Amino acid sequence: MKRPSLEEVIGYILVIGVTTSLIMELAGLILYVTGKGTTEIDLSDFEAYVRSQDFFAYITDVVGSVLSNPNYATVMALGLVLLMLTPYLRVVASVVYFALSRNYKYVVITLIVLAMLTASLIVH
Amino acid sequence: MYLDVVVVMLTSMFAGFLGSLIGLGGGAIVIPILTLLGVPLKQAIANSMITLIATSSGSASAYVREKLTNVKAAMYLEIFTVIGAIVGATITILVPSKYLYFFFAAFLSSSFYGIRRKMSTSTFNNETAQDRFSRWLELEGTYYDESLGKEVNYKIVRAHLGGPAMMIAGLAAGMLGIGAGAFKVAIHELVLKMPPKASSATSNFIIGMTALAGSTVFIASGLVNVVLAGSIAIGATVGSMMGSRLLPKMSDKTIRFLFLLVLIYLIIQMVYKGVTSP
Repeated sequence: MKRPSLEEVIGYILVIGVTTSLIMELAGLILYVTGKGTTEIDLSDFEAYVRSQDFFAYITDVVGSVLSNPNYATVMALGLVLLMLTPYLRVVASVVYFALSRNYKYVVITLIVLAMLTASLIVH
Repeated sequence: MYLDVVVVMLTSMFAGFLGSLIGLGGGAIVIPILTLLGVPLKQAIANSMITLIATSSGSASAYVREKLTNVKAAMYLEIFTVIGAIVGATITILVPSKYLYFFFAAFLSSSFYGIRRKMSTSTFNNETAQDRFSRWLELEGTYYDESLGKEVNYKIVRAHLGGPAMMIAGLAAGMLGIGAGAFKVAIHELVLKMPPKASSATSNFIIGMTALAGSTVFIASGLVNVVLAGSIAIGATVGSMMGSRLLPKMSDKTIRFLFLLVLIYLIIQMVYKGVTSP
């Protein structure tokens, strides 16, 4: 089987990631408006804030809470997590792609980007 | 002030629409309007930045499949923009909002480059010899230009200068929660000597990554509100899709006039906010 080009792989990651994320955001907004009975955004509503220190631990939390208690806040938080994972996965895919094409120069370059993003997602 | 899902969505749609008409991101437009609606500046910055991932990725996926985007150049430059964005976002968390208003107004002025660029119809030529570092990084590209009806080949130069310059672009983007697209395009064209279409496409591609880097900081500092971010994301994405549909039908003159008007208004508003904030 012919290996798809890096451009194709990245194109699909971006489209699928963003579309899924926006669908979850829309679903969450509908839950919010129907549940609260108002379209007002309450900036003092503690529940609506993303609280993530370690992003990867937060992903597990969010997935768990969507499964156990799917309300607007958990559904929309999952949507935002997916949104943030989209460019992240784009870098992961690039590392794999350059490794498969034995372009080690670019394996190192993409790994540097990946390492910085990962560190910034975990350490605070 | 009363903040509403529908109002935020429509505002973001307008910003996304206008942003894609002029070929720049909507972040610079949506943030000042959010502060006008009563959202604290830092929160407007944080919530707008995360939604840039959505608005930039839509067009980025199309450009990347058409091979307009130079993926290798983007990966190399992202080392610098990511550092810049993380540092910039951290500064924003620490600095008083008063100063951020002034930074914002100053940076909005760089968008004038985008207008000047739309006005000039100079043809691109790339006759400079490539330096060793840029060649070592394999920074060259080929794409099919529909308006010219032929393949365009180009070689990128001065990558050693372009990288650090992009760190400044990343810093501004992270601080202000915007894409800093005009600034990035300027570096691509003036320093790296990339042709205009490849510049725009590559800049758009990098914006998604800069937005992620900045968001890693904002999300940990508890500034991201899911209802606010969700409303902006949906509005801005729909708006920028509408903008790119309408773009071919509108005259350049109308677009420029509209954009100039909005830009000048936003600069005045941010300066005013900066002066009057405690």
